[in-house]
Amino acid sequence: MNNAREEILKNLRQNPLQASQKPALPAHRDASIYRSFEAARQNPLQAFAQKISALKGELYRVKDEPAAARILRELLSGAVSPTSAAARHRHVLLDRIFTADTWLQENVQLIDDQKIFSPDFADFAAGITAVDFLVARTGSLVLSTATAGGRRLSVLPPFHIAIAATEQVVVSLDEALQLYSERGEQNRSSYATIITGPSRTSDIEKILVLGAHGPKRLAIIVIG
Amino acid sequence: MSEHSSFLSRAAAKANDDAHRLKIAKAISTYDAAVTATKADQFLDWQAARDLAAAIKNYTLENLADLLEQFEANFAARGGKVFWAATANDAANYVLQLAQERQAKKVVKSKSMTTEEINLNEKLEHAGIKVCESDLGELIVQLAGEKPYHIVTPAMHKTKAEISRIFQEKLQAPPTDSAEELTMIARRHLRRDYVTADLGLTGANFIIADAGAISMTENEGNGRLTMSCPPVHVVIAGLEKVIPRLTDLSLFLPLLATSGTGQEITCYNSLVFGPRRQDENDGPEEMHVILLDNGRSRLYNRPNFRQALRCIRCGACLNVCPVFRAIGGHAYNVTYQGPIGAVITPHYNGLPQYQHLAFASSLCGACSDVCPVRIDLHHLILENRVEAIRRVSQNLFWRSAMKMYAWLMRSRRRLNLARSLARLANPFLFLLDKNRRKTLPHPAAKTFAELWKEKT
Repeated sequence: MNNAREEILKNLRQNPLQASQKPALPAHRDASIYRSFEAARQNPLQAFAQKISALKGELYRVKDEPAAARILRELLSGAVSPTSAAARHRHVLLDRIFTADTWLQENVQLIDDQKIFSPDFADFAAGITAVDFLVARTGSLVLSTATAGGRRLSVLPPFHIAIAATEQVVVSLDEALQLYSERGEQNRSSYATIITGPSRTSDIEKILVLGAHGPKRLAIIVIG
Repeated sequence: MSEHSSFLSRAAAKANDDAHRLKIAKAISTYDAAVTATKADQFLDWQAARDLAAAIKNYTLENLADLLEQFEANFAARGGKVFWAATANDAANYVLQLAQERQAKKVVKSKSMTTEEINLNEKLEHAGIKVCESDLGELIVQLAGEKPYHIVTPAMHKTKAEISRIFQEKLQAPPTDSAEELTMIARRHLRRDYVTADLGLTGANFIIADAGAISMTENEGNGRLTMSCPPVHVVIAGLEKVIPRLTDLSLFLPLLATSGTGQEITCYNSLVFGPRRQDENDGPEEMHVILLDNGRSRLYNRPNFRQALRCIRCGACLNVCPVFRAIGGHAYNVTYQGPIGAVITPHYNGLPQYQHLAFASSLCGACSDVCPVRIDLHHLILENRVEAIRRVSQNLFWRSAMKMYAWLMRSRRRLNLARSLARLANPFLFLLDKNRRKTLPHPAAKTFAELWKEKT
């Protein structure tokens, strides 16, 4: 430890307010702040769908896993090539979709066992992941390392396909973060990300361009 | 030339550069329209959201030492390392040492104003380490050999044509007038840098005490790649960036996005709790968070200025400022431009020569009106101005001039005489305005007192 630590902490404790003047930590709930909360509460999936399409993401709602496999094949058939496969990670929901489909098994590599650290990782045509939550109010996906196969699978390939079940939809960011906080330390990944639409930039003359450094295309398949 | 007089000449040049003003006006009007729409669409009551954010930040500041310790304990429990940096130099040296210990040849960086504050790029490059800026705007200014123009929009002042010329010259890219193609040139250029860099450097938008995590906001994905690919992740954050609870992000992320770019929430908001865990597929083996003081604790202990540490660096006060809109970001020659820069810069370590920034303001209060955490910016600018005047008033010339002025103003006769002299001198006063940009007003033919006498 460096001396600066003690010095800085001492400086920050030099002029405390009297106990009576100390402000309290206010509670907050998204319901009292956001106009868009009520619509998201009443029909979460519809609110999510509206947000996603406004953000130029794609949403596919299917009734069961075989239907999810069909959509996935359609999405991938245009994206993969003999030199550029898709990649996924091991996950209970993804495994169920893949076991019944030989085309998917042939065209999608499992990354977990390979521990790929080569630059080639960047050349996968698509990354397929599960999610922790879908947030209805903002149209966001919450992913953590444990549920999304690591940090890179959802950001390096130019196409990110996320697969979720309807039960994973929550109304607000507040709720998603609360649920994430409640997970014990053991179940918390080293990294989580809140994704809201495909990668974008407006750094050049404020003109919107998709696919700056992350995926140009984002598709979400919701089952159930 | 002093920092003050070089500021004046840069500001005068930019204020009279019509092409420059047009670029800024265009960028800011696009921003304004997006912000107005998003505030109305997303928030039930924007003012209430600001109150709440200010209240959470006030609580944070009154408990800052405890919350920083809480962050440190939680983060360290997962194998993260915390370094407390008293000065800019301490912080930059720590990064340099980390890089040198690992024989790093290349670091990849996402956008971070704190690294600008500590002059990190120069330090690393001086030691022979290649620094790759990965945010598109930052890459453009790095290749152009410039400093970021704006804390949120670093290349606001560059047109597509100018960017294409920079890319042709520095990246041997083909010419194009498409923003999309320019973006793809940058994407291809940086692709390998993420996976071959020895160190990833990022800032943090929030330090989350109860979770022992940092949060980083971006749109492009370069930040995510920077904290995912290299074997070491180093975060540099001002120690005021704390929020108490993870759930506070449900307010601060939309607030920052709305004020920063007019989005409801930015594309990627990463939460980093520590280095890669044993059971995880990837991620850095080491993670360091540098908590930077560099004058912040000095600001903290000045009762009126403590509120300036509520700042979340959204840039809204720059965009609304009539002075920024006229002179742009580079004229300031500081890391933090605009009203917030005028408030904090003179108090940061070693920068008292920036007191003149307090005069680069019309004190109109537009900055205080838009600030999402309700910092009373224009009154703090006024306080800095008072301090600057106190310093100047020690000076003999200033004191004599003020005495003379008081003497003149105390007598009707002397004042009338001064007016008559001014009328005579008026045709020649243009000689004082070297650049002939201003027309001087004519003193009235008759004073109010004379007119009054005639009418009554």
